[in-house]
Amino acid sequence: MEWWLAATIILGSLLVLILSGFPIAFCFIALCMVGVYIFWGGEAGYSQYILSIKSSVTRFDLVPIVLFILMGAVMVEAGIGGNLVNSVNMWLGRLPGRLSLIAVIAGTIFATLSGSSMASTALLGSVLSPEMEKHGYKKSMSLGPILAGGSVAMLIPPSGLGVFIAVLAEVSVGQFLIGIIIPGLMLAFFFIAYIIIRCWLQPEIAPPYRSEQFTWSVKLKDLVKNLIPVVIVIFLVTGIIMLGLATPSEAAATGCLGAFIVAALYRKLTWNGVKRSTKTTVKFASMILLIMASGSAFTQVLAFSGVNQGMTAWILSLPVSPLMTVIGILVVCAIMGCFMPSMGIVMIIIPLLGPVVDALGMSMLWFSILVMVNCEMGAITPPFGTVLFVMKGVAPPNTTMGDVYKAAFPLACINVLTMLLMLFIPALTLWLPGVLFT
Amino acid sequence: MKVLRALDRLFDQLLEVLLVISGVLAIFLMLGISTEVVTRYFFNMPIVGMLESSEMALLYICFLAAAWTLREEGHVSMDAITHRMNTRPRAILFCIQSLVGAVICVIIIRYGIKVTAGVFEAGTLLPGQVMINMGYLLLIIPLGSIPLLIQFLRRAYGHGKLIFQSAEN
Repeated sequence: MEWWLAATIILGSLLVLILSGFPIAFCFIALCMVGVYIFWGGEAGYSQYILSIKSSVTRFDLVPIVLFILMGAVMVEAGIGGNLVNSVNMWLGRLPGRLSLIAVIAGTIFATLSGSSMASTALLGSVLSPEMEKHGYKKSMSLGPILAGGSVAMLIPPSGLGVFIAVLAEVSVGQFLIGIIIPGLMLAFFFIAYIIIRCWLQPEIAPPYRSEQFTWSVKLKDLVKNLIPVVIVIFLVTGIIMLGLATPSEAAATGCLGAFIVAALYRKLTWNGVKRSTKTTVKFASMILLIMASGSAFTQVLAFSGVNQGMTAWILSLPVSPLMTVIGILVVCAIMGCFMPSMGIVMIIIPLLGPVVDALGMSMLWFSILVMVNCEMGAITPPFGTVLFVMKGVAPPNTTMGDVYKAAFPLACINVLTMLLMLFIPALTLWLPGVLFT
Repeated sequence: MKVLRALDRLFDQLLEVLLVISGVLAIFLMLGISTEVVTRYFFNMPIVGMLESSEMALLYICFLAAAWTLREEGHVSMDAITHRMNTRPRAILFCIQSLVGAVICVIIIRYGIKVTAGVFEAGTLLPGQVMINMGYLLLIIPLGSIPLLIQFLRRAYGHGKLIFQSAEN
């Protein structure tokens, strides 16, 4: 069978399955089962498929997926996010658009504890949205910054999606988690700059208000109470990876334990809270691991069907530069991001187009981080970005989906700018892992 | 009908039990690996078998909780189109999907049992420091797929009922 025909059948049926609302994990399992039957020698292939499920999931480097979710869930249960918003509120002076800035800064700090954009957006939205409404903020300057602060969570370690992408792309999880720090912070910086510039040009969209003033002793007391425990947890996750004291899986475990200890110190570690956190963890971990279960088989089906080789040879024969090829892949990824959940995009793009990037002699780490930023953009890109719906859910009742889309548009542009910088200056992603892992 | 309802409740309880076991495994991962970091770093005494048991725990969490997650509709899917569909066509689509899911489970159970039995018979050990038969690891794939199969059938039945109800209305 010609590779393009195989590619059309495989990707076409995958698309039909996904669009029909069948859970993503089962779309890949169903497709693998047909592929395995055709390309792995009929029924005998199914025995191999069972073994491939085992080898795809029983990987120590997947442990952070479970533990990062648990850590984030415990932190949410302990109400750490709300405390962080209050702390940033205390320290931020009378700046234009201060509530919007609080959303991005608190979102970025909370991102170091929770890798979930949805949890972050829900938290920031529920805490800040009513305040913004009260102080007369326009929708573009209330919804946008909350979306921005929430979406950064995906891009700053701990990031479950990051671990998923790294394992699928077969790059070091540690290097990946360190590699996303600069793009994540850069994106947060751009969001802050956007808010300041926009509020300076259009002061009416975020009217200044007299915020409560706090004495230095109150501020310092708050710093010790709310920020130092957070810094300890950040050290237990990112710090010990950077210092080379532990692997990402071990860091995830110590960070998670740290989160439990911090929650206990805040007297927020209740039995019901632990039960809810564990339930959330198991639900998401089981879903992600089941998607991962078909990772290896799907890659092999693509290879056995000749799609990988055919597509790689075809793309390499195109009269375009390697950089343009990567840009093309990212455009495809961005279009998919408008409609599909991140996990589905990653499961298609990495096994299908990863070999192309490899053949072009480009860094897989750099490419996979670009895909990650693309997924982050996908989560806030209309019409079906998942975070947009969370935002609508926690926004004031008079908010329409159109308001959310309008607020998200400038953020998507900022994401594109960030990706362009990462494309033309690969050091932005590769420098830090290079320094720390050599 | 009463027996069916009792079985339904019993199955829900089973899913809850499987959820609790998965949760315990997640906590075990956190405590076990953290302890290993401390004993290895400070006492130069790594815990034997921690790596293998962590990897096993991942597969167990994945398959033990899969059916519960399905019941909670927690498996991520693209619902942008199905949300806009009318009740009846959506129920038909979901019913077909659930039956496809059930067929997938039957295949996994059938070949999972075959592979696991073969591995037990051959006495294949897990690679690593712990001498455990790999069959204990593989066993969870067919075992966890049984409640998943039942949940898919329950889901199909639920949507099937909706199809008939919407037809009557």
